[in-house]
Amino acid sequence: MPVASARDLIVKYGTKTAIGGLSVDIPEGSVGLLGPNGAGKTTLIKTWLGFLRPHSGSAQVLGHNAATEGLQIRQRIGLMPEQDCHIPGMNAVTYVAYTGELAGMPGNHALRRAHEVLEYCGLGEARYRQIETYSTGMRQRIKLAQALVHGPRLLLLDEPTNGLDPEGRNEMLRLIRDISRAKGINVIVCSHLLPDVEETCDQVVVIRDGMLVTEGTVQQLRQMAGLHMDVELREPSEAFIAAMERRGARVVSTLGSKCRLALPQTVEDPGQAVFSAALDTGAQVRALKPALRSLEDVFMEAVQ
Amino acid sequence: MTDPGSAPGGAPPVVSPIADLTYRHYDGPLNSRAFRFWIVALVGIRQVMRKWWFWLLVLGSVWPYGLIGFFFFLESRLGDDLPRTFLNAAPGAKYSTAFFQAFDWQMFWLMVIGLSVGAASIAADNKTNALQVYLAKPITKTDYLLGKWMGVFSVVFAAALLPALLLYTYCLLSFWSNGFLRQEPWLIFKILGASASAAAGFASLFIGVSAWSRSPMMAGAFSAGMYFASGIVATILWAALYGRSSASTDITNAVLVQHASIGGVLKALVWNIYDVTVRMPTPGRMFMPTDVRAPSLGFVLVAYLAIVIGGLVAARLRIRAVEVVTG
Repeated sequence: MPVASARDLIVKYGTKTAIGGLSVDIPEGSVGLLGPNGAGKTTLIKTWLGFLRPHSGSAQVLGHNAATEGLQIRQRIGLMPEQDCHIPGMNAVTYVAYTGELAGMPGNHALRRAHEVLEYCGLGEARYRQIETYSTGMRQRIKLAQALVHGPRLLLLDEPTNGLDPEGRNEMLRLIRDISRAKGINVIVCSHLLPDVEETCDQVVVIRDGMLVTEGTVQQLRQMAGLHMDVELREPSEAFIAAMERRGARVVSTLGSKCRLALPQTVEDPGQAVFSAALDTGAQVRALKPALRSLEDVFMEAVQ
Repeated sequence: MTDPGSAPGGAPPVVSPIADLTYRHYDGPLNSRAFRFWIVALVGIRQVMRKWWFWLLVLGSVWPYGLIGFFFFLESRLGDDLPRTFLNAAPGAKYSTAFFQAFDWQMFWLMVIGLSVGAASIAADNKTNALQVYLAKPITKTDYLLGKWMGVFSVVFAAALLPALLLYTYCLLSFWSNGFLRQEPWLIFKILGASASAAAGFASLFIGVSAWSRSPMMAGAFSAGMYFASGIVATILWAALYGRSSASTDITNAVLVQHASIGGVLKALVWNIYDVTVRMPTPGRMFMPTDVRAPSLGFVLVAYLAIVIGGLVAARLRIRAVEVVTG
């Protein structure tokens, strides 16, 4: 069952159509929601949260209708907004406990959970500090903590690594991976940073102009059209390349002893072709695997 | 088979006092959504109660009742030797008049308390984008607004009511034998009504302004400016229209114009609630004190409702969930 979905969804701001007939299913696990600026990602999130009423079509989150059951949806999801946001005049533990109470938790439960979640998010030592004194990295973590406190089944993370230094970014990505893989919480990551999505998500949904462009697992999307293989030799070998070309292969790129080859569709067993060429030329194959594109390539191809 | 959570020997399970610090799903109880607004209100109240200056303002709002109580004490000791004051009001309205007088002196302090709590309440949230946090939780815009309003209302209401209740208790205990309850049996309800209506007026006004600002300081300055400017305009209008009137002029309209301001409307409503005659300087009579009745309740009520509803509607319009996520 998809954790969130849209069916022929049309959302308008006045006369401007932000989403024009989107149909998409967000599966369980961690999913990256990608798209250029103005693609409709934020509008889709607003609609799922129940803040915008669809002009037509439907949107569902965890089995609830987003148009009519916004409160039930917000009870079961956590939102980590993109912008810096906190409730002023509070220390971290008071703030997180308060957001838990807003989600309906009794005060003593919320306070206990606040301590646990802050510890989990790496803010245990700083939990009694005023949030106004926090660094950017700590503020990102506290946004995550307040989204987690009430035990959501789905987390919406909007640009979770915004403004983080490399160490902070790695730590945040580790947390997101742990949340989705070890804690079993479904995660939707909206990010412009494709390496972040690549590192944290199993599935990717790309939208453009309010329409679905492509979707699938990261692995599927990265696979190249046609038959491409990455070959690593013990040392560079012109003879091996020539032997592969004789077998109908085209060299896409070479880098030191590595090369990417595009094989003709007529080749039934690419491994057999590579190993026979290596045998013929005396080259030693160190690694052989299907060639993959970067997610950035996939994204650029999808949105252009 | 032994339950892994139970202690050896069949004793009750041992519950560790230290929280398990590993994140896990929350499957504990959830409160009903009906009073979620009260959580928002409570936080506002707790935050302001931690400020030292708030207690100074509270002291300011207490002294008028202390002074009146002191007058009552003197009167009980000195009797007829005490000069004629408001304590010698019309029969059956002595205490109402005294409580109204105390409220009149207290009102400035209530305004400052309401301003310091209310002007910052939503503006501070706007400044730190806290609305994103609130509205992404299972609460409605109405819950949020009601919570913020209730936070300001409760503080101002308590500041208005508690000193009045203290004085009431003193009067009840000291003047029981003088027929305190018999003379004015409805006084306690008048005190409640007066405190509530002033608190509601201030809360609505300041919340309405606060919602439209991203700076608590600006919201405070604008609210105070609006409050005092309307008072100054009403006073100028009053002096211009009725300053040269003769002694025979009906002063009903003059009193109405005099109270055509935010503070004036709130005071006039409380005046109507206490339903007393007040001696005040009147134009056309060389500003000699004259017995004056409260302005017409109809006009006052319309103006009061405009302030309360206007403030709430203004705030409601500004609290928009669609700004929750941007980018």
